[in-house]
Amino acid sequence: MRILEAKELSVETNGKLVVNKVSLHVNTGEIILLFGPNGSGKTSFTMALLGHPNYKIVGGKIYFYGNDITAYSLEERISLGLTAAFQFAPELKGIKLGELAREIAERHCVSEDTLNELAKILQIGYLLDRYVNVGFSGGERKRVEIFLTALQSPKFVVFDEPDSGVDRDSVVLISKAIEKMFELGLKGALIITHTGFLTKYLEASRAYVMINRRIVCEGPAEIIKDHIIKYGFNMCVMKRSR
Amino acid sequence: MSWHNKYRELARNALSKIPAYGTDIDLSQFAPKETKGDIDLHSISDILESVGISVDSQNRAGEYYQLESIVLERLSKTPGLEIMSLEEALDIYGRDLEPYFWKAVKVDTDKFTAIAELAGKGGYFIRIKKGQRIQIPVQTCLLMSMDQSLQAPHNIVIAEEGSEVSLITGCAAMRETVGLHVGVTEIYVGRKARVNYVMIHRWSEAMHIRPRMGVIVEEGGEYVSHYIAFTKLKTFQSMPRVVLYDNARAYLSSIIALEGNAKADSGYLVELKGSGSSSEIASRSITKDRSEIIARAHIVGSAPEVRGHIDCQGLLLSESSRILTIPILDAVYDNVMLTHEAAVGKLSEDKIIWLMARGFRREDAESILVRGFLRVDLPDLPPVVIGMIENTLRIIAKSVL
Repeated sequence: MRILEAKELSVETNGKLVVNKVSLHVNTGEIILLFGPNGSGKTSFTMALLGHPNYKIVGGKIYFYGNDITAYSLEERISLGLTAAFQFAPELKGIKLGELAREIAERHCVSEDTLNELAKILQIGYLLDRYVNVGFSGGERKRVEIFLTALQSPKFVVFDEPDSGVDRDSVVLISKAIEKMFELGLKGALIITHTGFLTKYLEASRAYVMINRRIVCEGPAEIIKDHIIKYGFNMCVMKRSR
Repeated sequence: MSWHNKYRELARNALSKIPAYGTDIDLSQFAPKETKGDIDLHSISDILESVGISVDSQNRAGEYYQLESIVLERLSKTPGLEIMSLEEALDIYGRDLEPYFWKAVKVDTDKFTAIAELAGKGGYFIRIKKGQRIQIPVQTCLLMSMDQSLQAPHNIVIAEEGSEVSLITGCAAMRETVGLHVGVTEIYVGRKARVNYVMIHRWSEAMHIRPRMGVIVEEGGEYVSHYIAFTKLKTFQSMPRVVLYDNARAYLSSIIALEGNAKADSGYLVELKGSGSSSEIASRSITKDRSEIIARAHIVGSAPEVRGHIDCQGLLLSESSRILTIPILDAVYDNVMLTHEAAVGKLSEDKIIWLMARGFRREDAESILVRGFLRVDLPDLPPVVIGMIENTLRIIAKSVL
């Protein structure tokens, strides 16, 4: 069954077309990769899926469990269990990570034990008494973002570059946490990545490549990843033009 | 009391003296009011609790209540702690009080200090004896309820050498009223003593508020002050002066959230006069509707190895409101370290969206951000005081939006 499907999705922000007729889908239990160079439109696509009010859908549809949610607000989409782990989460001065985590967990009926288990998996216990993301390293920020997202007990998550700018150890911890999220009820995930590092530790089934606002190719995750490592992102463009 | 006459003379000469900051007020519109003083405090427990006052006096070492010009209650429940009205203290101690009388605040500072001396009534006298460390707070409460009323108490707090006390002062209007509140407070923190002072204000739309405050902290003493006002009012102006001697420390925060047409001019002046003294001033200003806040902070470093820091943050919740921050660092000695940071702006839409992506409704996301904005350090305060402040700030964060 398809959890999420974008059909011919086009998105504008500040009057500029940033996503052009993108179609992709994620089936139950799948981890899908979305590759692409900087500025190709991956984060804009994520924000449009999330329902960010600054990203206007000007064409196409979004389906969640077969229902058309194109016109749904951000709040309505979150309440269905769809969310995104941001590439750059903000600093929240004055808000302690532990306090925020407990508030999120309580709202989503996630137990204190699960909260503690996730904190242990991601090795962020020592950050709970600090203000959210204030003075955190890149790896700490990514782990905290996964932690807080997991506490929402979501059904579907777009992880926006969870393996960018982080050390190998953090990548391992993040992949373990995503596995744990599947145990806790996550049904599918779209992982945006430049490198596919996470697939060393997590099994992804398929991958898409986005260049210049469009999906330019798709296929088995391992093959696409290997080709990108060998030939770069343009491989897909060349292949398609032949 | 002949020694007293010179202060009255100075006050008479200052009755027309325009204040350095803030809107001038015509004093002739206001006069001290007498009331029967037979109020049932439990009937206004909501108001009292909103300014940190525990009606049943639980977890309090002593208390003082004043309604308009009438002293309702003064009670110490703790050895080594004196609480009485200033009139009673002057009767008992006479000239022995002169070293603490109009010394931290000058009687001729402006027309408001002058009127407090000439027409003011009541005010608390609190003394903590040498070496007494009182772990639960003392509460004082100043209430107003009558139109055209002037409430101008003169409060004196003396923390003798090595003593410690936490004071919670709640000031409130019991109903919508037109009035002028001029609370003069002098605090003397003795050598190696510590005073934690929390003042919470809740007034009504047509009131003018002019607290006048001075604090002198002797060698190795500590003074921690939190001023919190989440209130309607017409105008507010206050600039407490805190003087620190050798190795004394002060942490001073003010959290002011205004609505309607309220105008506030608020800040602290810190004089680092003793070597090794240090101070931090933190202000958090929130404006909505058409309200305006001028947030001042002024540190003067005039001794070796002093440190001072100013942190002024402002949050505008409406397009028609205004916040002006004025941090001033004045180094008059070469070996000082004075710093400041300031920022004024709206709630970040990116942060709101991110919190909404974490499952919060927009209003809850905004409330979380306001709560974070309001957070200031609460250094080494008794748990009951920390709980009271945090609870007050939570209420403000929820209510302000």
